[in-house]
Amino acid sequence: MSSWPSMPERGVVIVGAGLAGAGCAQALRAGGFTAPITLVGREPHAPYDRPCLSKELLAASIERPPALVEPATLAQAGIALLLGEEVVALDAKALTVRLRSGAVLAASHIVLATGAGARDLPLPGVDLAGVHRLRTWDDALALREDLRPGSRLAIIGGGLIGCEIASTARGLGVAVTLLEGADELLTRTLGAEVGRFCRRRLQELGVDVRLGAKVQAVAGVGRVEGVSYGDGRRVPVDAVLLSVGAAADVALAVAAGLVCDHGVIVDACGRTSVPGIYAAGDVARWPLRRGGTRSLESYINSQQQAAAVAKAILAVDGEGSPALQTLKGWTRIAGHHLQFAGEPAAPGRLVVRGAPDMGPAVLFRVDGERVLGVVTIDAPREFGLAARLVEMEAVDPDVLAELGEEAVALKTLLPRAAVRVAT
Amino acid sequence: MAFEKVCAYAHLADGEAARVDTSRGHVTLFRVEGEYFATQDKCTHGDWSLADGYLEGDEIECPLHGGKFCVRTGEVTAFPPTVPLRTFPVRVEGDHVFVAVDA
Repeated sequence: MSSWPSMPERGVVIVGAGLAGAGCAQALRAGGFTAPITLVGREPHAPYDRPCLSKELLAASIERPPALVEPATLAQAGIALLLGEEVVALDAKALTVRLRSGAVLAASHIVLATGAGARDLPLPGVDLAGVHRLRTWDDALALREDLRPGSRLAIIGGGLIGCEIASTARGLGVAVTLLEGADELLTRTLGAEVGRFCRRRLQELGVDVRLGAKVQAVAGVGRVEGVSYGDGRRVPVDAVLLSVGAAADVALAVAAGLVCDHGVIVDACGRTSVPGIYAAGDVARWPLRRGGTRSLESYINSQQQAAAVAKAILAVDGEGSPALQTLKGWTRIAGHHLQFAGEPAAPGRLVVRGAPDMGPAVLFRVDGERVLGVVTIDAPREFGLAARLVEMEAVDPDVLAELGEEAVALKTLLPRAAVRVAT
Repeated sequence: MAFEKVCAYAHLADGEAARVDTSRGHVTLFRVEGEYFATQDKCTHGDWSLADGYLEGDEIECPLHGGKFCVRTGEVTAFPPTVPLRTFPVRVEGDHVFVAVDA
């Protein structure tokens, strides 16, 4: 532990070296922060990009995930990278962290970017060999081992990760059964209409989709052999993927006494309940524009949150620069590029441009004067504009009336969309 | 450095982007407060033309995954891209915009 001088200058300690952690470290340096920065990563790998884990990496069309930042670049920027290391305790009063190796780092600011793990199901058999979760590079390699042509995979949970992996696994010649407890796929994130679109495309690829399928148990002797659901129905399998959502990794924060609720509660700049401690990325429960809080669990949001935390740390006057308080993300399912913003699954009417049964299409969720959310299917050009409509507090009623008229380009609607302030 | 004519000055309004042809393939032009900038056409991450992206000030957002670049310098301002864009010198002469793609 002698690498730390006895009276080191306190700097920022970032717990977690994923997108939020690495992004925050770089944003601090880019913003002129000169004190030490230490980035602590539990995995043995330098910061890497995760969206490929369920797609190109799993399909082995790339050998390794792209680096988010090369270790040499971090070193040049004076960012200390501790890999395969873990923060085991956090003293919120003293602003110190203790590492598994025993070293104690004293900080001026601590950033929690510990991410989230796969949510577990309290079911028999989920610890059997052949039952996978997908959060890390190593997880993806382990799952890939089990995805051989002709092998049988059951995916429990028809959310984004489940649907992405169903697509990839079919591409590898794996027989896929997708078990979803609700009556449609993706209802929580993208809404039932887009869920139906994705289900049909997955079915065309040969995925056996079973809706309303409440899983009862995972069975096998030593290794997984089957999944039972509903009233005693059973799917024989060679491997299982559990993809029923994420659970924020809050253990450190809870033990340190930070206010948490299935995630670390923060303000829109990432400040936790304890001065000097911040959170960003999947572990952070972000305040939403329409009230309430949630972990947004998306790449774009995590990155913006990391930048917001960096700005809050850099701010001398105490002001910060809030990160987006609406969801923004993308996914790739059955060969289709879907992008989403806001709350596309919220109650409200649907306003559609294009062909929602085939794509390209833009599907807005509208309630009163608000465009609550949007999903675009194979329409990247429209997404940038559509997402800005969602990010507006309210949309001019004349513009709302034209939202579904394809003859009127979104580009011409956007400049007119801001609601004129009544005088 | 050889400049070639790519479009009329009025081709873009402020805040707009467009793909133009050159003798060495496509480049994307951006107009920011009366000034033109030129970069390689495709994002360094996803396979998509930045001309379809959303331009805010001098920052272009890639339409596919939301990566961002400064159109003046080409530098990455938001992941997932990590490699900067190639930028090309631009000159406005008379009513036309010229780009040097061999620079």
